[in-house]
Amino acid sequence: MSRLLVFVTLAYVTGIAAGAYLPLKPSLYLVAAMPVWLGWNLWKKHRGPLTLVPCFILFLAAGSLAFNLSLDRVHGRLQEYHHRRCTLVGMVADEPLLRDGSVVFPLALQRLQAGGREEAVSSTVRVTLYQDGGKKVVPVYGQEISVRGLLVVPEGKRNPGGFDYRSYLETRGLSAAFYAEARHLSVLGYGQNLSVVRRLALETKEKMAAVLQGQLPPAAGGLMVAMLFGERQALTAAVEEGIRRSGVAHLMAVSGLHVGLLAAILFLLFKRLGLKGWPACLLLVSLLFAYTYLTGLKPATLRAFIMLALGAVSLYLGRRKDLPTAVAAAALFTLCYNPLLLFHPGLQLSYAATISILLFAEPLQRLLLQGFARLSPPSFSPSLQEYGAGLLAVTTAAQLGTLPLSAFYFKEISLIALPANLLLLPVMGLLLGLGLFVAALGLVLPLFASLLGLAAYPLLMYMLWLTETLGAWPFSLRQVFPPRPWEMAVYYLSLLFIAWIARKGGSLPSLWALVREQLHRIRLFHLLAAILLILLPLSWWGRPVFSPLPLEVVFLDVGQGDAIFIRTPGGKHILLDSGGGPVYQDDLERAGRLVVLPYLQYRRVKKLDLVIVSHPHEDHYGGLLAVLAQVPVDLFVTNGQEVEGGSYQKLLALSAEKGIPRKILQEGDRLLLEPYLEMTVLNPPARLFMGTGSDLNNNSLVLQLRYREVSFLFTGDLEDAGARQMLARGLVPSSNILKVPHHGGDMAAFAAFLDRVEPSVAVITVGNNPFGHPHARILSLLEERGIQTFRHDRHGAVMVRTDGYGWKIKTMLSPEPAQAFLLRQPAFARGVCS
Amino acid sequence: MSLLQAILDLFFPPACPFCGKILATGAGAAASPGGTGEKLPSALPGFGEGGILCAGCAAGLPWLENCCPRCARPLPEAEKVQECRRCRAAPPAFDHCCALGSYTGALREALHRFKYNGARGLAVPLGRLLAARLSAMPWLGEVEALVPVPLHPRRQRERGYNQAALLAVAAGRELGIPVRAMLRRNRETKSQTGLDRQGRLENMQGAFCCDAQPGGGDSGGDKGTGLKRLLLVDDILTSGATAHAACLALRQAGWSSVSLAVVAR
Repeated sequence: MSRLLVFVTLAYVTGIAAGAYLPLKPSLYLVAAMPVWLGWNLWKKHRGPLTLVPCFILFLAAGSLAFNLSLDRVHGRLQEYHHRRCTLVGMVADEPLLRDGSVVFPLALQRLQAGGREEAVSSTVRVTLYQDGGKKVVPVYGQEISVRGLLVVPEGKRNPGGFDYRSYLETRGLSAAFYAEARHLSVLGYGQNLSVVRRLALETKEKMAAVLQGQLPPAAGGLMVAMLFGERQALTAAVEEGIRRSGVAHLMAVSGLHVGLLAAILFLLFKRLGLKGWPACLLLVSLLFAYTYLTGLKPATLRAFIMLALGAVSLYLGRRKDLPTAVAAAALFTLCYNPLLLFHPGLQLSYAATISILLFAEPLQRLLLQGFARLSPPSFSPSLQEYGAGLLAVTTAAQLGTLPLSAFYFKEISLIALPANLLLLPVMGLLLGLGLFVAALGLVLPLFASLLGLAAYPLLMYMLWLTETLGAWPFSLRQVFPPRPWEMAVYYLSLLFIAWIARKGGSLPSLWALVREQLHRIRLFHLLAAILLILLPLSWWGRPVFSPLPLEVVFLDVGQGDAIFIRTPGGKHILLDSGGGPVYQDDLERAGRLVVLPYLQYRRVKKLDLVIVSHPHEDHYGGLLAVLAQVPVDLFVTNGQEVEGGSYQKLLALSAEKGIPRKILQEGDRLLLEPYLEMTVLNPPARLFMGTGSDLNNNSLVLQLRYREVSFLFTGDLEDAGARQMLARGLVPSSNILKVPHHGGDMAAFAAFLDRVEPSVAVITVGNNPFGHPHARILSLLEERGIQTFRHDRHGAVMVRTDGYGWKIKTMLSPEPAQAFLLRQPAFARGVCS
Repeated sequence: MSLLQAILDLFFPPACPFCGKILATGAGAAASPGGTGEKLPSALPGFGEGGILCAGCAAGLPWLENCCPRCARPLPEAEKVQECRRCRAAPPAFDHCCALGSYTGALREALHRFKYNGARGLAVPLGRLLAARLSAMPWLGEVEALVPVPLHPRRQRERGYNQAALLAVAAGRELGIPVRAMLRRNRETKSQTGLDRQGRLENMQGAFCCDAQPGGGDSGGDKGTGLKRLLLVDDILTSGATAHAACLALRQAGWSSVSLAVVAR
């Protein structure tokens, strides 16, 4: 290994990535043994392959330990206050972010009071302060405040393909979310723990931003501030949309372009002033750090800073700088500072782009120049050719590196990113230089600054015009299904392979020679190992590759509400209810937008063959408004109950507008969906219930889905009256897996109902609710009968797979609220038909 | 290798001074046995260890193998180990010259970077290479100190360092011989470029003076070693005018035997 730092960093990064799966104690011992090992090596002057392996293992262990420790440190002891109202006392740890109707800021806790008990705590939480009309309450960075509200420690991902709020907070060093109303906040004064430097940096930045925004029209000024300081919230919504659609959003993240430009300006300035040697080097590095600090120490900025600082030191030392080592040093430093940043999309995108540029920019440029040479007369300005080829090569390389990641995180890719970047990058240097100059000058000489600010105006207008025009093209942005992890792995491995070929020579004949040379090196042992590696996973799946697909029934966790996704053995997609209110009264579609649609994208569902709404209650159909708007549907089934006005009518109107045929089902209807797959309707009766406790609930569609010998019973929000009538008429079939009616609400006839169904597994679709669901009696009845019970509030989404004879159940969350990092591991269950 | 060097090597891994390829060092050096390969010229012993340069450059650089021992000018095959005709006709002021290679190709580029592009880090590999070549010289045992050819103070301020001094320090550390900067520039000289041999000689005449006498009180604690030879160190030998003038200054101060070591000629 010629680049030791790269090697060590790879080991450390692997350790962090695998941190959740590596045992903690051995890691601890290994890291404790590290100084001994280092000392021994130094003493013996040991070198060679044998020391590389322990070196890798040690840094792997260090990574895993760093991951687990920082996770522990982030979480502190807040877990026990999950979902409790408490009063927090602490310091506002950063500038608040202004949103519509709310203010968001991190709060570094000092004390926590709940239930008459007070405890000293030391984690940081993310506070969302809702503005209740009247005067807007915006706390200031560094203020000590006391605030009363609800503390939520989010679990990991609750749904496949869903948003992992827990790790989102973790990577930002936050342990929990806290929701409060502005009137419950009181300011206690300025905290003592306030970092003077940070305060100064923020104030300077604010002043600079004010200078820029004061001299330019709002859209242009916002753009300038966003580019200089990486503050996307300074953009107006329309501008941001255009920038996102044209794929130049990376310009709003302070990274190599920005810091590099500043470094170049300072370098030239120092040269002019005759400043050199270590004072120049030190000054340059500290000024670059000041800028990095000013923009909030974001991962991409930190990476650029470390790489440039190493470059400056290499100039001073007269040593050759090595870019791969510089990237590794940046990664190692950043991840020692906070290991959880590895899971930060910003960091991943930044490093993917950088590494890809390192690997591909040069060979691509060579290729392009060759192409140019064929196309144009050789006399055509060679320096311009070089510049163009370089620009195109760097942009293409960066796109290559970040494509799957942005598809994964944003579920969209910009198809015009390449031309947009080519048109914008050339003016970026001038624009950033001018902006920085104006901002700095404006602090001292406002008049000059305003003149210079006018000079930047045409460039800003050009940028605004370009992003707006390009972004307006309908084909500029394409929604994509997020790639799966293994697909990304294959993509990146092939990129690395191509890079390797490009390094080794490039042309096809030489490639073939290379492959032959490598083939000669292969020994029987390698072949055997490869075959084993391919066979092992196959044997783990434990089934032949070409057997029919299993039936999948997924109870998505939409909180209090139903959303059940069915994938038939024939590959058809059915959605039974789609979540919604009443928890999110204000935003009916929320569950559809945040849970169901992401899940459908994750499953790459292009079309739903059948959508069923069990009954017209918001927590069952609300999310469908979002789903219908985006996904084509073949057939829409309801229970025939009509409700006056409101959102349900909106839903029916939407389905009519989309031209989706609607069908009303009732007791006695049977749908033979596929061979061996049958859906039977058991409720409502032909004459709908009238005058029961809740007609809407009792008229729920009750469906039995049977695949060969395994059957599911979906009961909607059936209540006592409905259940009694079904029992009386002998319409309750025995089923293996029961969706407990009405989110586990009380039902007098439930014992009799259960005795008829005789389920092995029960699923309660319950979330946080004011109705006392699930009812204690229901739970004890299930427990008495030894029925395995899953509930959304404990398990997250519940996924059932069956081949028609037995079933396997997987949940997203493990029910034991054990140590923090164990929460990530899901629970498994298996069952067979008796 | 000092701890500082080790840390610097971690962040700026040592590269081949000629082609820039990162060398296998540290923990992995033994993974590729011999480090820099087996194709090294026989006259350069010990190159493999520590990895100074890559195998490709070790094989491809314009090493000087068969040359005049007095002035390091390449010799035709017939005149092995004898002084060349020019040296016999007009002997230079130095007794021997040891040169690493001819001033062409990759060596020329490396020296250019070393001298004019601020790549002062190249002093270490070049100095070590020079030391390896020097250790094969029979007269090395007599050498009391390495003496770098000085730059004029103004030139040194501009450049920030004296490349010959850096080379001497690196080679001296490798050989275990002290470095003594006993030469000074008397006056500022014109640039040597663009002058013919005669012009260069005239240009350099009396440019140096020497501060220390052999066995003198100010020369430090190496009295009584009985070794009287000085080794003048410079980066490039072209016409020999600079070296000649520097050697004359040393001889005037009483040093009777002076040799010369350069990276390229």
